[in-house]
Amino acid sequence: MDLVKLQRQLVDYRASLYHECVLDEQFTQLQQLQDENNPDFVVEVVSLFFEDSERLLNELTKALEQQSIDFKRVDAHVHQLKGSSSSIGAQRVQKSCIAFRNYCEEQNVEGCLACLQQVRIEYSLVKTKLEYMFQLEQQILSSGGSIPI
Amino acid sequence: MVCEMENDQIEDMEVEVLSSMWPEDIEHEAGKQFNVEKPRGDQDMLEEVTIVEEPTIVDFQHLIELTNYTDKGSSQLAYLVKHWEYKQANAVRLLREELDNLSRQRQESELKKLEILEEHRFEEERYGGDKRSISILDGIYDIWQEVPRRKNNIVVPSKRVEIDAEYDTVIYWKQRATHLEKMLEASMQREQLLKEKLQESIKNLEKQSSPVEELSQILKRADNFLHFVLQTAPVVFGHQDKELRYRFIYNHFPSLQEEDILGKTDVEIFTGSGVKESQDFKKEVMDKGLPAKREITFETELFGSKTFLIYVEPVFSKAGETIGINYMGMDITDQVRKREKMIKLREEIAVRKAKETELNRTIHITEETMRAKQMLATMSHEIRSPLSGVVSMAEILSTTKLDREQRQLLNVMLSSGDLVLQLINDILDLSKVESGVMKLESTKFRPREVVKHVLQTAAASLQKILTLEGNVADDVPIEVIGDVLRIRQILTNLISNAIKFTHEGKVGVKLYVVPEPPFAKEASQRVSNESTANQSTTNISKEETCTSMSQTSSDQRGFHGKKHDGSCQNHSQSEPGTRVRNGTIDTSEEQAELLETTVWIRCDVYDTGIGIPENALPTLFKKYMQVSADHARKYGGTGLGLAICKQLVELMGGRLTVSSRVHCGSTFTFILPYKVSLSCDSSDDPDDLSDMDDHGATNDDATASFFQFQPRTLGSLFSSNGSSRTQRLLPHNVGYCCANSHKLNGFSETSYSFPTGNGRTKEMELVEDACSVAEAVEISSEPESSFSHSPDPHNGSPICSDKHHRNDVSAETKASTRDASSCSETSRDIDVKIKIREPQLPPKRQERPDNCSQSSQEVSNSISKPKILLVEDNKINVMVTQNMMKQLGHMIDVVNNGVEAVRAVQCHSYDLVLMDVCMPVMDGLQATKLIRSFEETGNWDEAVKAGIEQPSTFDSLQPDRTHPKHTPIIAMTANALSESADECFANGMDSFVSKPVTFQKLKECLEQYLP
Repeated sequence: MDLVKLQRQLVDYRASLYHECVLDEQFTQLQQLQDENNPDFVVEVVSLFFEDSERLLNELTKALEQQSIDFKRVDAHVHQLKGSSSSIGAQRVQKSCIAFRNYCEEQNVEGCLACLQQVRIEYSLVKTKLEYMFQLEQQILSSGGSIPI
Repeated sequence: MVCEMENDQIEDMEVEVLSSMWPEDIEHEAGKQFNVEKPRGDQDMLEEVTIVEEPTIVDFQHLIELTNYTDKGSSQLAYLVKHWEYKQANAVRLLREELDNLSRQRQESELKKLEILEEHRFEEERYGGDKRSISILDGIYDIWQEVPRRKNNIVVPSKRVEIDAEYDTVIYWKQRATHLEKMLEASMQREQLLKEKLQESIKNLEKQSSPVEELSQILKRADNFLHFVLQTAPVVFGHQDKELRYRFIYNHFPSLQEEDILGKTDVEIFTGSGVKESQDFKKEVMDKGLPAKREITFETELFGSKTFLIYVEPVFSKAGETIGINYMGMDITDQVRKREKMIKLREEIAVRKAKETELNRTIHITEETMRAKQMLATMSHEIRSPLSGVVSMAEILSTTKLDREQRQLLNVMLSSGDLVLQLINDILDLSKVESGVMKLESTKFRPREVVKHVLQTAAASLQKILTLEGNVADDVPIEVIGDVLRIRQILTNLISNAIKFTHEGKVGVKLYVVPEPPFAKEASQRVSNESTANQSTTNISKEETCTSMSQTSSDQRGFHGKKHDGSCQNHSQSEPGTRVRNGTIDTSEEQAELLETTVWIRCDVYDTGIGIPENALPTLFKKYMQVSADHARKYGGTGLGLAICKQLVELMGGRLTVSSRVHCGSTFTFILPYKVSLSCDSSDDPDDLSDMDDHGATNDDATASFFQFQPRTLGSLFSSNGSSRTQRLLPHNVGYCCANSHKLNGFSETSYSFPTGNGRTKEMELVEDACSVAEAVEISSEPESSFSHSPDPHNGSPICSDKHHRNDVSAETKASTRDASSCSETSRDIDVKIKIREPQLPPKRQERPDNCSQSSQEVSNSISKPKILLVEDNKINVMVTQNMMKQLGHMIDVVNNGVEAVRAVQCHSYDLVLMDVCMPVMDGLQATKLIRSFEETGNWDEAVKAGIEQPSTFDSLQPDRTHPKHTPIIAMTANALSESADECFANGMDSFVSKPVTFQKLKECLEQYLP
């Protein structure tokens, strides 16, 4: 009984993520990459993304705290973040990165800081949501069900 | 006498009336309305008479004769004469009366004279008698007529004055007597005068009353009237004699000279349809002696197509015998036409009405049907939801702890539930298709993948010892556009059907391109073909012919022959590809779209099953039909599967057919049109053809053309088993001798074209094939060996070490033994293949997993796969791209920046480089530039200048490469704006894909740049 409920919940939840533009179809691509040979692919990639993003966010925070900001460096970091977020389909993170880079180009510290904040928020949002989703999937798997596509 | 009368009459007509009545313009026309000759005024009457007597021109003689002989004429004349006689008599009577009056008066006057004389005598006798007599005389005087009295009045007084003698004397009386005598004499004289006058008037009357004048007047009037009425009437009338020669004709719009008509018959005048009919009709009237009317349509040269209403009456002589006919015709062509039009219209209206009612009925029925179907669909849908709930509940229940009996019950429940669900799904599908709700989607997909997956799925649930095989011809494009879900559904359905009815042997799928089938041609003729489409079809057919050629030659089984054919094939195949590729680079994407064309792919699903009896074939695709009730019991199923397949296939514009032999097996064939975007169908640069290294790159899942799945009970699920190994190993080696896969295909096609074909030959062929392949490896081992020697473990470059590592893992550790080992592996593989072809051989189990192991796959990959380098600094991007490539069947080398990329290229020859543009240390543009510089100059001087040391193995790698090939480098750009496409091209990149990379983009890219 729980299983069906869980499955439905997962489907709904996933749909809501797409609906809220937290994720885009690139994430679907990731899911397609996951198969019997590579059962944890999505989780792996996403974990890598979390890891990498956190590192980058820290770097960014540090860089922007500097007296004289090395905007090139900041831009490189944002570029990285943008690339990886677009690769996993974290659409909102990616979009806020675009704005971030524009401020970087203008060497606008205020804007950069605001954007960093924004990126951080978006990142934690996608992180929370994805983690919850993985949790659901895990529950389903552990109760012997299959993950609905 | 008669003649003269005629002449008189005619003269009168000419002078007084006719000239004014006949319109001037008509008079000058070819013919005359009134074809009775009109004499000229100055012509002599006698001449006229002679002309009249000529029979060809106006036949006056005959006309007169006519009037004399015919009933009608004579009666008319008699009437006129009677009329005249009556008038004459009347005049005579009047004259007589007058004469009587006059003679009576004369008698009276003579009587008076006598009286007077007597009186006078009496007076003379009684001379001097009484005086009263005067008063009597006076009284008598009063009786006299007025005129003489008046005269008397004048005369008498004067005479009285004259007398003037003594009254009552003798002289007086004498005088009086002589006077009276004179008066009498005058009266006599007057009488004489009157008589003369009378005589004269009688004479005058006699002269006047000649009938000619009268008759001519009447005739003139009648003629005037006739002319007035007939002036513009569309009538023709005439008289024809006994031989039906025209004697007289009146035609308002004559088209012939009268001399062409008179004296001739209809048949002599006209030719054409209707003439004979009218002639016959006239004859008939003449024979019967009764007037008749008829409508006759003439089709003559003279006046075209005209319909006349003809009235014909016989003309009799006084003796009662027929001497000719009068005929009158009226042109009613327009009326007839109108009438016919009306009839047609009425007919059409009737037909239309009938159709309308029919249509209404059909619409009604259709509506009813649609409603019923829709209701069915809705109902099915409604049923499905709760049912799927029930089934899934049961499924969940089955995961709980149950005792045996419960489990059995639950299994039954599940299978029944599944069946019902299947049935409802089928019904839903069917009604969707039938009610037109079913919408087809068109997506790009890979037919090979579909075949593979469907077979894989079927193999997974296979509970029999059956071999499943798939065979895709090379001419089938790698990617086509169609409704992949439906096509899968069809394929799955057919395959599961085949499996269901097959107890031993195999079930297989064969895909190959066919020319446009006739049924589609009919349909497509309606649609206008774009010229570009035509062109591209030609391309495909060219390829096709080439392929078939190589197939034929492959029958010879001689390696060298094959080799040549193969190269020919490769060459020819690359031609369209090049063109297309140029097209995509030079032209805009829209034009690339235009290159889309339709390819017809035939799919045979064959089995070695129980077959279908011939009598069951017609009902096979009908709904709820199974071959027999027995079968239904034995095999189950809803009987809807094939019906759905057929409907789906037809919905997609194709055909589903079946051929079968009882106990031998069945083949279901469906031919479907697919859209192909030609830009994907490209192959290598023609320049590269000479370079042997390039030809090992065709084998991955996208291009693999043969799949085989052994019975599940005997081994693991599909992985790269025997046949796919053939793909992995053999083709690559053969690849050095060109056209690997084609040749192989040639084999597999020939060997599997008969579903019931025996396995032995197959094995033989395979062995042979493999042997020749081995030979090929030996022949062409040179470049390979030098290449495989190249990795330098001390180089420090990540790929190199990676490679090395892989080599360590693999079964074959030493690069130097690669040749021999690959060869031996090949032959070992063949052994395995032969073994696994015999299903019940136990050793197979051990063999297979071994062969399918990851390590061997990697080895084969490192040898056979096209080498792809990914240059990307972002770990996540690397991971995603790597996995996508893996799914696409490629293992790729990864480096993290431009410098590493250059180093990697220095160590290896890559078939494709995916290059991120924005990277630390050295960006993709710079790296590309360096690589291109090397390709042009053959040395790495530029790279050295940029600070990249030349690897120490460089010399050993390069000597035999006089002309380094052009490596396709694809830029991966985060967005096309800041890292512009122009910049990419300017730095020597071949193309670019925007990030994030997707399956689709990668696929397209690979298809375009890997042969």
